[in-house]
Amino acid sequence: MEDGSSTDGATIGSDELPRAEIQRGSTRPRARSCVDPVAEQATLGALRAGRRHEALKILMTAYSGAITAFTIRTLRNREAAKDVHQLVFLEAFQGIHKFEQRSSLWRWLCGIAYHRCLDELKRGRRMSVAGDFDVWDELAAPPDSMMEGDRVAKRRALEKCLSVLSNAMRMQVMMRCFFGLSFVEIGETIGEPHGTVQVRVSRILPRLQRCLLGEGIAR
Amino acid sequence: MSPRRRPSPDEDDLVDAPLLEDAERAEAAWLLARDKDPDAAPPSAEIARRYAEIEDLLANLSPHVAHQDWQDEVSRVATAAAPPALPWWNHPAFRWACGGGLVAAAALLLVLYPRPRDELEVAIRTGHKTGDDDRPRGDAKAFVGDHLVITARPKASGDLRVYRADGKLVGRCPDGPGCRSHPGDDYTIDVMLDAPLQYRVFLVIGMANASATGTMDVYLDAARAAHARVVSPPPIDVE
Repeated sequence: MEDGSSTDGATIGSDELPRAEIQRGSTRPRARSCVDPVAEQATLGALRAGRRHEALKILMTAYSGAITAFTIRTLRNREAAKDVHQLVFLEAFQGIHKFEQRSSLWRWLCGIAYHRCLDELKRGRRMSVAGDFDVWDELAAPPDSMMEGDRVAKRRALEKCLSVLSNAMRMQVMMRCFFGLSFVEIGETIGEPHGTVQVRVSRILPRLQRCLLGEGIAR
Repeated sequence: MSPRRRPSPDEDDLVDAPLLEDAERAEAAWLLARDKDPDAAPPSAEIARRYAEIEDLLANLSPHVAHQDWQDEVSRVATAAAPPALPWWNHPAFRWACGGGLVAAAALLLVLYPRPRDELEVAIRTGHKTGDDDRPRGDAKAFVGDHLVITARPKASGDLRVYRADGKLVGRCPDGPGCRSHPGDDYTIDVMLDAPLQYRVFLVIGMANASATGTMDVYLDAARAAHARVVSPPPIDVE
């Protein structure tokens, strides 16, 4: 489950690739990687020295933003997302001594986040449809005032389009495009063949594309 | 290994869903092909640009800023949930060190105190040819013409003898027939098994002035009378 190998061109650690490819006009898939090599090394160093609390803090600092982004979009409930987010790091702390370094810590955390979100969805508790709009508006808000209005509008439309996807579709497209996991890694995490995940994502993106067109974006 | 099957969180799976239109089918086919071949031709440059933008937006989803003290909360819960620190004598590193030390000590003992060799070794060398392998006694039968090779390492003054069942002394060390050793060294007797009889080997330790002649029974009676220690392997039957 920790296998970090990639067979589909979205190798973890290749986060410099998308920008370069955009400039050349290539059609290479743009899956960024959230892996922070410095934090990964520091965490492993702290673990080797027996400083588990320090390792946890490094992990939280490096990856909490991305994990929160995933949990809140998956669960669409601020309180549930906050609880799951904390649970992810707590579980990581409790199980980190068993981490075998067959993948990155980031990939490992992604797996925990996916399964804890799944558990929360299955429990179905605290799901508030009425609260969705508030959450999506908040997510689409620009992190800084310098962002172009066009970009803000696109973000807002994307968040809306993500919200109409099913939970499974939304999680998998985020694992691919936001987390930067390979199809093999996603397949291992969710327990499905990577080819199935690949086909699914190739069909989600056109749905998103058409939804954005319907929102007056991506023209 | 096939991945674990987990139930989907909902039913809306696009994998088997029909594509709505030709354009969507073409785009999905291109996206699929592109994952294997980044240079796969898109339906149009405009479509490629649109998907690039969508993926760029997806890759840069805005993070949600958590409340300030959440890390402290997690650390506090983690500390409370963590098992108490092990005492130093029960720490894995200490236990590994102890185990390693014991293994090293055992290895050192083996080097410094090698296993003592047997006091009496009996082997049969087959045939008359030199250079044949010596077989330890018990591995095979002995035949007339084989050689019986006995090595003795008595810790004190010893007397090594080979008798035939008819009572004849066929080998003796030191100072006897078949003996290839010098005083003070290990005793080695090499005698040819020249008759289809039973042969007996005796190492007698602690008997002074053993008679160089006499039958096997006389010799053993004298050893018992002198309270000597007698070491004797099983008899060797020669066919």
